Parts: sequence; structure tokens; C-alpha cells
Amino acid sequence: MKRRDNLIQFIYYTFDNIRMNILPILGLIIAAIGSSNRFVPIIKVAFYILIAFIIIYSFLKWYNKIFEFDDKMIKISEGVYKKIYNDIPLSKVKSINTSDSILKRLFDISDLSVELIGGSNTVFVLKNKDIIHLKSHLFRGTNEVIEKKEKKYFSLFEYWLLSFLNLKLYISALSICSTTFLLLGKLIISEENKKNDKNIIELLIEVKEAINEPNFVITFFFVIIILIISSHIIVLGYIILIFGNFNIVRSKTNIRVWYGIKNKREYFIPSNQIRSLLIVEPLLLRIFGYAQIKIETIGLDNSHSSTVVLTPVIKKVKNS
Amino acid sequence: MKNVDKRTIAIWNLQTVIKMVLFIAVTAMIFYFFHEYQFVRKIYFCSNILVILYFVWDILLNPFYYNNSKYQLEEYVLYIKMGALTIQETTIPLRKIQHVDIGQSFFSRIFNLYSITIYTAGDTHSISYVMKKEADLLKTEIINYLIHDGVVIDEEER
Repeated sequence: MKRRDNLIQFIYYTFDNIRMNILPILGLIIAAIGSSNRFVPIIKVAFYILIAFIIIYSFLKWYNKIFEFDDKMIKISEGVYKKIYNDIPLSKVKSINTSDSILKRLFDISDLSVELIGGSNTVFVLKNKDIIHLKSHLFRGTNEVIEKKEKKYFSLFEYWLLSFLNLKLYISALSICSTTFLLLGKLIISEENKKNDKNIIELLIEVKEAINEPNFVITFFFVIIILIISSHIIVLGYIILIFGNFNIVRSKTNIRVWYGIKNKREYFIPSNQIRSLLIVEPLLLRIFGYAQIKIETIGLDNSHSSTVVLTPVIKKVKNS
Repeated sequence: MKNVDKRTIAIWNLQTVIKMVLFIAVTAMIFYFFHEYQFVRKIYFCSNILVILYFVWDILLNPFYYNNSKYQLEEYVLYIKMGALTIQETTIPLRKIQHVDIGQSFFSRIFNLYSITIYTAGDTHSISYVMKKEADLLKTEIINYLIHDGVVIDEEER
């Protein structure tokens, strides 16, 4: 039976196209001519035409993507200007994974990503019950008796450990907290001080002069500690949103991993597609006797990596 | 597990030194032409401090990296361990290996050492550096396994 992605995907296509095309173009126009001159009315009309074009284009992109799963093949046709027909033999499917967002979860929809050798992947947006049916169709044996099920919810301590491993996230949280503190500071500052508003260089000179005063040093360190703690709380919350509800199910032939509160991700990997197993021990995890387990598969994810985190943090057991 | 050759530390140190010398040479050239600008002088000073810190950090970590650079070939799997502060242990089933390369970098030629690169379909894994005899032995054992057993097993799995 031929079918299309769920209609929700049309919204995502539109959003992506606006994000990728409209925003940079708009930014460029404003930077080039400013926001008030005689060309503004013309630019406004052009802008509305561009938005209408993007909405129509996104609709056609959604409408023209038609796919069909039969016993041996996945047949896909897609494209707006140029039509592409793709027939994928089921035997060439190496792994599948699903992911969703809050909006998609509200409508009981997920992205089903089918990976092939070489890293190329195709995404279908379908109802969850259809995805379950397709999974068993793509990898026969999914419904076999489960050998081992590890329902794993990490302890708060393990989430805390995980929160130290993402430096980029930490810097972002630090930046958010600093900005919030500065804004709060501006709100608290009295009207008199607002009149004597200083730029950052003047403030730095004042800090340099005040550094010899013990009260100032204590307050300064107190603020820094508050900043670090609040950043850490943000990172911890974010890590819980990413890795919350972590589950692994192992059967004879497959491994299924799913996690995430904000965006749910699910990996379904046939055991024979696993190329290697990685045990990673960052220094902090090693100190507390923990490690991470990752697996390397063929062409999982179309982005930079083919490595999947199987367990972000796991307690090591010493062999006697 | 077998350690890589101890002279590997010297190779890594030489690589770090070359990187540092190149960086200092480039920044010195920029400084020579633009030293009248105060911000160039400040950036030059800060970047050199950073590169010296990086050099000390790298040189200090190389012995730790050596201590953790190990490998072991067993009947069906190859274990590779590496890392200084973060340790990573990779387990590669032999039947998943596509092919094996043996290579020499400029510095490893000085010490007559070789690196072995193992290709699986998804990624590459490297063991650096070992004696030629050991590299050949490892390569031969993996290739022999692939010729006699690996392909058959892979076909059965399909």
C-alpha cells in the first residue's frame, strides 16, 4: 500500500525551509539596507512572496514523497523539481532507529530512520503503531522471546556524573546563567547607579582596584560559586531530559535501546551488524568505577558518526 | 595485553615538538610584519604561552598514553586499548574486519617502527607503533582468519 509521511511533517519541512532560507536572507537584507528606507515596502512584498513560495514548496515536498513497503523492497519516490525513484531491497537495510519530538509525541508519531551500508539513510514519519508493524516486517525475529531485559533508570548520582562529560553543554549553561545574572543585576541596580552606567572596560578597572578589599574578594568568589552551581543544575536537568527513561532490551539477534524525555530516541540494531564494541572510561567515571559502552555499526546515522552509545554510564564489576 | 613499543613515546614527543615549532614559526612571522599593532603583540604573547602549556601538557601525558596503548589478539576478537586520561577499550570481532594496513610515518621511520590500521566497515582502528615483525604477525593472523573463516561466517549471518 502506497503512503505518505504524516501531515505533521509538512510543518517540519516548512519550519526547516524558513530556518534555512528565510532567516539568513532576511538577516542579509536588514544588514545591507537597514530597517527604514524607501525600498522597505518592495522588500515586504518580496518577503511575503518568498514565504508563500516556501509554504507551497514544503507542501509539494511532503505530497510528492510516496513510499511503499512490500515483501522484498522499499519503493520511494520523492522530489519537487526533480523526481527521484529509489528501490531499496530489504536485505540491504542494516539498522533502524526512531526518534520523536514533543510535538510528534502529542500526535503519537515518530521518525523511522532506515540505514543502509555506507551511511545513507531514509526517514519516514509514521504513526507509532505502523512503525512497530514495519519493524517486525523489516527485521523478522523482532517478536522473538526476549532473553534479557534491563530496565535501567540511572540514579541521580549517575546523572550527575554524566553531566560532567559534556563540556560544550556546560559552557552554554554557564553563558545562560551569566546573562541571567547580569540581567537580574541590572534590575536590582538602583536608579542612581543606572545613571552612572559603565562600560565593561571601566567595570574591569574598578574590579582591578577593588581586588585588594577582602569583602569584594569574598563576594566575587560567592558569585562565581553560585554561577557554577546554577550552571550545573541546568546541565543536570538537560542530561536527565536526554537520557531519562533509559532502556535496553536484548534478544538473540537484536539490541534495542531507547531513551529520552524531551526527544525520545530509539535504536534497533541487529547483533550481526555490530562491527566493534568500545568501552570508554573518562577520567571522572574511572575514579568512581564507571565506564561507558558504545557500539560501532555500519552506517548508523547519516551524520558524522556511526557510533552509538549503548550505555552512557555503567558500573564496572571487578573480576576476581 | 601487549604494550606498543616504548620508543613510541619518543615519536609522539617529536610530533608534538614539530607542531609547536611550526606554530611558533608562523606566529613569529605574523609578529614580524605586524608588531607595531598592540593587539597583535598581545595575541602573540598569549598564543605562545598557550602553545608552551600545550607542549608541556602533551609531553606529560604521552607516558600515560603509552601505558594504556595495548592490544591483544585472541581466537575470534582483537582488543585495542588506548587513551591517557580517558581510556578507551575497543573489541573488534575478527570476522568484521575488512582489511589491514601497515604504515610508517616520517618519525616512525627513524625508529623503524610501524603502525597497523584495521578497517571495519564502519570505522578504522590504529595500533601505533610496533616492530615490523609484530606488525607482520598481527596482519598475517587476521588475514589468515578472514581468508579461512571470516567470509564464510559473514555469509552465514546473511
